[in-house]
Amino acid sequence: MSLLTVEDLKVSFPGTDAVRGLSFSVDAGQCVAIVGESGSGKSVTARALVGLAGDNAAVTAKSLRLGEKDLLRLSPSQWRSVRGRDVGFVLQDALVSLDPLKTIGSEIAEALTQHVSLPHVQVRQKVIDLLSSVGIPDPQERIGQFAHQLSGGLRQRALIASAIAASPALLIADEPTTALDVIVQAQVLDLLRDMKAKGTGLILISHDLAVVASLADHIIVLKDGVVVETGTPERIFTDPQADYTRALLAAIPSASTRGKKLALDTSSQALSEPSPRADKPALEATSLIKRLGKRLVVDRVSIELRTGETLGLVGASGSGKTTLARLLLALQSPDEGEVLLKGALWSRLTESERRRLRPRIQLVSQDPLGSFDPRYRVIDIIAEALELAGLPKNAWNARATELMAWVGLSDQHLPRRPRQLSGGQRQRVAIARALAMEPEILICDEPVSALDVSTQAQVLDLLDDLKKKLGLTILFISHDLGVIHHVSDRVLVMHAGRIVEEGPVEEVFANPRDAYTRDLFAAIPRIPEASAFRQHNLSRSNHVGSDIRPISA
Amino acid sequence: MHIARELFIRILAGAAVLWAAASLAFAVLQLFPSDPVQVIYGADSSVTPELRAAIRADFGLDQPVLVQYQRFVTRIAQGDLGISYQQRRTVASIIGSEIGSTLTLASLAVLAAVAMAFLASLLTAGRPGLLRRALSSFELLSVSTPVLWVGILLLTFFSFQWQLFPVVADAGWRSLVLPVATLSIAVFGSLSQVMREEMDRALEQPFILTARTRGLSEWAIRWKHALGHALIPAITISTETFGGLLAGSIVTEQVFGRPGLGRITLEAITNHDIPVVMGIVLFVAFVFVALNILADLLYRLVDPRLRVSSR
Repeated sequence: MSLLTVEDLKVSFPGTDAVRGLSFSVDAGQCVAIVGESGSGKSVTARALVGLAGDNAAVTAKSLRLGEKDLLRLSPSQWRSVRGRDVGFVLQDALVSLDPLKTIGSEIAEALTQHVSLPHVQVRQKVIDLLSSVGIPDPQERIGQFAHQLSGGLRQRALIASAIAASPALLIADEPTTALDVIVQAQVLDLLRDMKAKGTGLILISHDLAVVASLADHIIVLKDGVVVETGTPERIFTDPQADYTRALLAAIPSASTRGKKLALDTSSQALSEPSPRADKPALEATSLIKRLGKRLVVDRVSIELRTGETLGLVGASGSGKTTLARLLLALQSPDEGEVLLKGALWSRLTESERRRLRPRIQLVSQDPLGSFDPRYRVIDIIAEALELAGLPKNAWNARATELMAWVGLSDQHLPRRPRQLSGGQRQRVAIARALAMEPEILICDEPVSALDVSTQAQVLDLLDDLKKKLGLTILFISHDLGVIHHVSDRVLVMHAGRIVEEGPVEEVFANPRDAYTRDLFAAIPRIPEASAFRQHNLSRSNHVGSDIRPISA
Repeated sequence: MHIARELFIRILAGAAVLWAAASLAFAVLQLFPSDPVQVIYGADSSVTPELRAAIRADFGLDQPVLVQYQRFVTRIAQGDLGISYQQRRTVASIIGSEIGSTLTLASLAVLAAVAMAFLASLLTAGRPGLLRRALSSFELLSVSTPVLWVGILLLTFFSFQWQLFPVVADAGWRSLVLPVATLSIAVFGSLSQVMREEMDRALEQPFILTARTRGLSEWAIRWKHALGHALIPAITISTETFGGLLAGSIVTEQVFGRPGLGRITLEAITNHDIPVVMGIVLFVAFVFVALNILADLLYRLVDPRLRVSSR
């Protein structure tokens, strides 16, 4: 019998239908992945399964059963005994999904004592056991630490430990690795795979098909609350039926998409070769050092950004990428070393001397919402930049219209405020603002990390178009190796403040010399080739462990 | 020990603030037009030059300004606030005899306000409804009504109309009820508004959803997770208000005819009793410095992210 059976699940909020008829079942030791972009209803589904869709949500289904329990008929207190005990739930980012004021030990103990009555000493021991079972070293010490004191990977493990504390038979993981860099992501996915092997039923929710590829036994592709495709990973990846699934697969940037458009609404013809390079580097940094206390955030970094190229800078969170970007932009001064702009003084100038040169080098950041004044309309945001660029006021409207067209927006967007735009539209506005200064160099710091894969595809295509059209030089910073591989001519790998690898993108990806780079590339989640599935199926097994709590009636 | 060093630095900084406050007060008083001798002897009496000189020597007023300043600072550093011109008692004993009454009033008022604000935000944060709207309206009313007016209203109804509580101060807890209510209503308004807003925000956070997925009850979620996040602003507002009440409950003390710091401040100013004014200024500065250090320590206790020494 299935662990969880969902038949024709519908969730609606006043004015919108978030989920419109979803059916699936999960067995012990099986993983069902629900994949979709934001607004597809995947998270709402996850929440509805634990009765937390919200007070204003109407949840209906033909059948919604967890073991013997009919979830449609539970009272609030019965729901509480299901949550945590029968179903564990892991959210995206443990930094905000664990109470920042509580130690991880007390968070895990809370999940435990809510359902199991244990003497105090045993609770502590059990928490320590849980911490080590999810692979947290020195659990005795970690138990008294707070989420902010742990690395991203460790705190995500702690969050998982709290979800499995009462040994639930079913674990729902809603984007459990999205905030993590690839190496840590691979470790967390391994942990989930272990739990699956021990017999836990798993519902994995993600926007990323590549992430679920290695773990899922069954994939459901969701769009606007409707199932567009469902099947085994083998079928979905090798023979996708729905256009949307094909578009999703095509939109994932990787080695094979280089030089091609990602978004399918434009034809996927190969684009013209990159423009020839001038000799003088657009931006040049020599032996940059930046300290934070005793730590070297940027450690003797020398880079050369050649005119007309896209230089990819890749590294895990905390590797110093963003600090390096700030040094290059001369928003911070280096402790040692210097930055030259077009061979001329840049980092050593005073800010007032630099100000007239600032238009030449512009920044596009990850979170445009945070970089816009929320009270400004799009036209005000653009006008501010145009004023700084020294354009006469009577030319603003025409120029704003032109900029909007460049980034694929129209005049209609000009009177809107940032909050009234989608994430992709906001990023387009941020790009338009940067272009308003007529820059030669664009520093893009994780410009697509907050976007859905199909929106990401559009923005990457847009940047590529603009680069060719305007002859831009781009430093593209990302933790996403697929994105870097897709956009870059040359690539730099940054680790612990240092550049550990540098070279043409194909060469670095094909033949990484540095150990860290090799680890990094090995951890990239990949959509397996058709031949890999036969192997994969053989090794798939469904043994049921004994420490999983059976669902009591 | 990071925290001890941190604390030491804070105390040093506090001492610097006190020294600055004392110096400023000293400087201002040099410009003050009144003659201390007249204040000491009363404005009407005529004083012989010999007596005048004797008094001036007695209070050290015959010395050059710098010497006076040096003596003043040395005295203050030893905790000696000097002697009142009028009452011929030490300033410390004057403040000491009145502080108890003010301290009782201020502590009870802040405690009552904090308790009410806790309860109000626990009950209404994250929940639309009649209770929330009623409380919000009450808070708005309380922050926008002058303390004087609240005091008079309470007196009118509870003392004159229904005669539940005494009109003027006597001993016993009954005379405390109305002044405490007056002040705590004012404090409650702003405190509750801010605390509920913080709790509203906390309840939207993902860690609350995580707690719900563990099967915690609504009450447990509020009590164990959301409340802690409202504590930082609660500490800021209540320590600041407490300091303010110690120094400035003048209106309330006057309305209810209570003894206290407010009353002696008023008297000292009208009578030009400079040492008492100085003493109160320094005392209040001291209280604020101490409360600030206390608040900083409490922040660390509440929020581990503020513990700098933590790894």
